[in-house]
Amino acid sequence: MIGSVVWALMCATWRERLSRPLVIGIYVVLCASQVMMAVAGRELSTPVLAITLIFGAGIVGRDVSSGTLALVFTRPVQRSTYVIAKWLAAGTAASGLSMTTVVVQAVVLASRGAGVPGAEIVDMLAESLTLAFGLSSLVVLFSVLVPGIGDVGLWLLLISLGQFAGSRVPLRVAEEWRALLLPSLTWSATLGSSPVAWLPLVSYASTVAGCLCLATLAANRKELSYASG
Amino acid sequence: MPQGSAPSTRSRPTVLIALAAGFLALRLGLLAYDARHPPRDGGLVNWRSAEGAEAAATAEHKPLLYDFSADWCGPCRQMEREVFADARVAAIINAGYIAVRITDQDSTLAGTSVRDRFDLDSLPTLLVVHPGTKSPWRLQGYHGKRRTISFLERASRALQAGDDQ
Repeated sequence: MIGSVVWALMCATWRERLSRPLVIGIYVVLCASQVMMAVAGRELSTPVLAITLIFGAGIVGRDVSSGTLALVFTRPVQRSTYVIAKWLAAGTAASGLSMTTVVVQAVVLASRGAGVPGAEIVDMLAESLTLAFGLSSLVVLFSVLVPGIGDVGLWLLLISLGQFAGSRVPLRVAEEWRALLLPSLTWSATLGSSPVAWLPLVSYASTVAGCLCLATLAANRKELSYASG
Repeated sequence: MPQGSAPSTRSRPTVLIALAAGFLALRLGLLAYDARHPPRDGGLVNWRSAEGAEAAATAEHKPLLYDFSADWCGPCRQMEREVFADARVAAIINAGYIAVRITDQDSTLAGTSVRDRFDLDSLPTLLVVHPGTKSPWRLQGYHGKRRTISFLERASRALQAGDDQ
């Protein structure tokens, strides 16, 4: 039952987010420019950050502002289910697009005689996957807290604050701040290392679970009307 | 539930709360364990201070390898355990580079001047720089042993060929 509700909400989110030609055009330009940059620099890169932010912008906040969320909750849908579905929708879409771009880059580079080692491809794919789901959890949390597309604005503000304060605060604070706002993992430095590095894995899981938990608690406290924004 | 009223959509997220609390407790436990079990200091690499390192690099015609790290930095400790404690990697570094370690506690003039010059904003960071070249080869973060070795080999080859990054 919960699975089918999650799936229905995910499909609705994908349809809403990926049906506009302008947005599709932006994704195509973004991915194509990453492939061209990879060919020029002979190095893999992932567009996951930009794609997650574009896909996640207002993922909950716009539903609140438009009054859609009040309609959704007239059905027996738990708010925790809604939050998880939004996170999964953003994470799968952003990771799918970014990982496809990385694979295309690897194929193009290999066809031009500049093949990238398999370990680097696996690392880039793992980073795309984990950053997509990690950043999505943060964007969903911010999206519950602020209306419209203020979630991305809040994230940009916080990351800029870190950059601005970077030279004025201890390096440790700046590092923790960055890790919190950009939760990601690389394969070779975690599961691929011997012995397995559990600290980064657990830290990542803790950040994602914490964000989703706070997002659900905040959603539970939210009062909705048909024009909440 | 009163007749006719809609069911509540606000159930307490018990599973999520348990997961978040469990992972947080595990994270704190691992951090404490990590702090009590530091890697062998220095590994097998002959690290030296920033003082006079450039002059040594010029005299020996070797590139400089700067390692920016800190005691509290988990990925730095992992790199120490997996890369710098490996005899093969240490031999490559000792033979091919003037290896300089600069920690966040390094308040010497030479150390702070190197940190400022290369605009360091993340740990760990490896920089390979030849005194004669303009831009350094940079690897930010720890991406595993294989990628770190591959970075050192590529940087060394490129510097021998006279390429900047």
